[in-house]
Amino acid sequence: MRFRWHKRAGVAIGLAVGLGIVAATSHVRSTKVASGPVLSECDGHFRELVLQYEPSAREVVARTYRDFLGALEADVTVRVVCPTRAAYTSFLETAGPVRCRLLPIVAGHAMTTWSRDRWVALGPATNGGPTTLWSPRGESADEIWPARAGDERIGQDIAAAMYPAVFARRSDYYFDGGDFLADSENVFVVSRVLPRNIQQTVFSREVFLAALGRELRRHVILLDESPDHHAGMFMASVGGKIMLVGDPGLGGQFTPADAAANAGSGTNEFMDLPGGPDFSAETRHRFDAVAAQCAGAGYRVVRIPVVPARDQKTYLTYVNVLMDRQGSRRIVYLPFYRGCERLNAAGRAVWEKLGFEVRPVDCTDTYRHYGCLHCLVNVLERG
Amino acid sequence: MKTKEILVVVTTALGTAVLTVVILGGGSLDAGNGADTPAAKIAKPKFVRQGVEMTLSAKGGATFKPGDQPEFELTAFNPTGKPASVSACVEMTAVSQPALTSRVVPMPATLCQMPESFTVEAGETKVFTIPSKTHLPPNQLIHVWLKDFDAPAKSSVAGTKSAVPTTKLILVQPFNGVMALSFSTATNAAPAASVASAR
Repeated sequence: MRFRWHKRAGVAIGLAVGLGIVAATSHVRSTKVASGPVLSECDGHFRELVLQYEPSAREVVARTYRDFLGALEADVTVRVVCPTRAAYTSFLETAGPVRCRLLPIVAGHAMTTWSRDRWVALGPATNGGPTTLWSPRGESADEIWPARAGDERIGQDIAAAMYPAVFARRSDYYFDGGDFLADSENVFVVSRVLPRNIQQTVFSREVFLAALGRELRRHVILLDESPDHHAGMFMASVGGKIMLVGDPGLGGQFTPADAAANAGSGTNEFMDLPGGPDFSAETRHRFDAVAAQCAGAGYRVVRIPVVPARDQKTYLTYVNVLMDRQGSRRIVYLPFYRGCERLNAAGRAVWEKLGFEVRPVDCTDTYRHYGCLHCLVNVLERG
Repeated sequence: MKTKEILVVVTTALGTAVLTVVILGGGSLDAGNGADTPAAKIAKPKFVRQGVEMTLSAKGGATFKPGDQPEFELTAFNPTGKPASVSACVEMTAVSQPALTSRVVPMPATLCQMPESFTVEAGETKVFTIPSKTHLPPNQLIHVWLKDFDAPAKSSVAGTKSAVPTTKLILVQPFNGVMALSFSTATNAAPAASVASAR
């Protein structure tokens, strides 16, 4: 019985230490943390934003990043997810001088440059609690698109780098972050999410929408008819129950006469829009349907010019924005496109009339890749 | 306390702590690993019309490669108490790998549409072979849909950025149907036709 009490003491100490480690790390292992509602697009001041930078996309994003980051205030932190440390160095050279705080997250794998669609930020359930990044079950076409397969891991990468302030949670459902548009009351969902999930992850539309409501903690409004694109390409909730909805008819008024006249023939390539501008009745109807449904949901709808292309993916749009509130000031980071000065002015006028201070962001090099400013930047936290 | 006694205490404590963590801890300590596993997907997507439940599979469990002309098996089961006449369409679409800088995949192209109309008696199960008669293109993501057959087939062009559509583009994702199968003809992808990863 030699050393009996020594062993007992050792066991007791070991148990205490072991249990302490288990307790301390239990919330690390568990990603089922309580979460609050999806972040509103139009309320609060920027605190933390997330970009993804892939050097192969440098020419696509350089001007946009310089304009946007250069205009951000010093109290904003921007996390830059990059595949390698060298890519972050390239990013710094691309971004130019900024006042905001830039911090790298090195992912160590392939990725695209499009941050918005990778996750949806769910705010803290309680004051001081963590933000949850709700990531889709899988990424579209990752079977044939290696960079998109890498995108699937971004939510986890960010959470690992920012623990315990951020957790990652994998959804049961397929979606892109851009399929949702949220304000302080509602979250609009584009209908393209349904065929990705009905009879795949859920049995019925009703079950799916109810699940979205529980997860996002907002009233879910499914758009019955809409353009086949992410919501932020054709609509923006600006606060005060006001919804901006793109209007191709208005867009046509500010498009050069020959581009508008030839639209539909497939013979002109105005602003490199594949097939030319699409001002067809069918396309205009889809945008009008969104406006009607928002009005039916109690929103004051304001129309704003948009020029969609006939490929249904390339847009000259003025709702793919980021909105920031600083006290009583409302600021919008608004895309503009070189070569479309009249259209740019018309889009800007709508925002200024609503009382926004406009900070223009050159998106001439991005729109040809089916997205703009809102698609490149995700918001992690607002004040 | 003698050295040996201290060693006994420390060694015992260490071993106990490790065992405790291993037994009670478990799982990954990676904060951001999203270790929660999504719920299981629906094994066999069903398309239901007039109470008839339709499912689709690759004939004979075949796997497909570029150049193949896939054949599918449509199984229709009528659990209702009366005969039902159904019209449905099997539609195959293809998506090419987008450009590196693209935000989204281009619009899919319709490869073929295979309509079927039939009657299923109460309680009966019918199985049809659906030949696509279409050669699979290489390096594409192929989706096979079960949908209503009430819209006339429309031609479409591959949704690449450089393609100028010569006909009216259609929304290829049929909101009135379900994605039954999904597989890739990329050379480094798993070839087995699986229940749709509806993307």
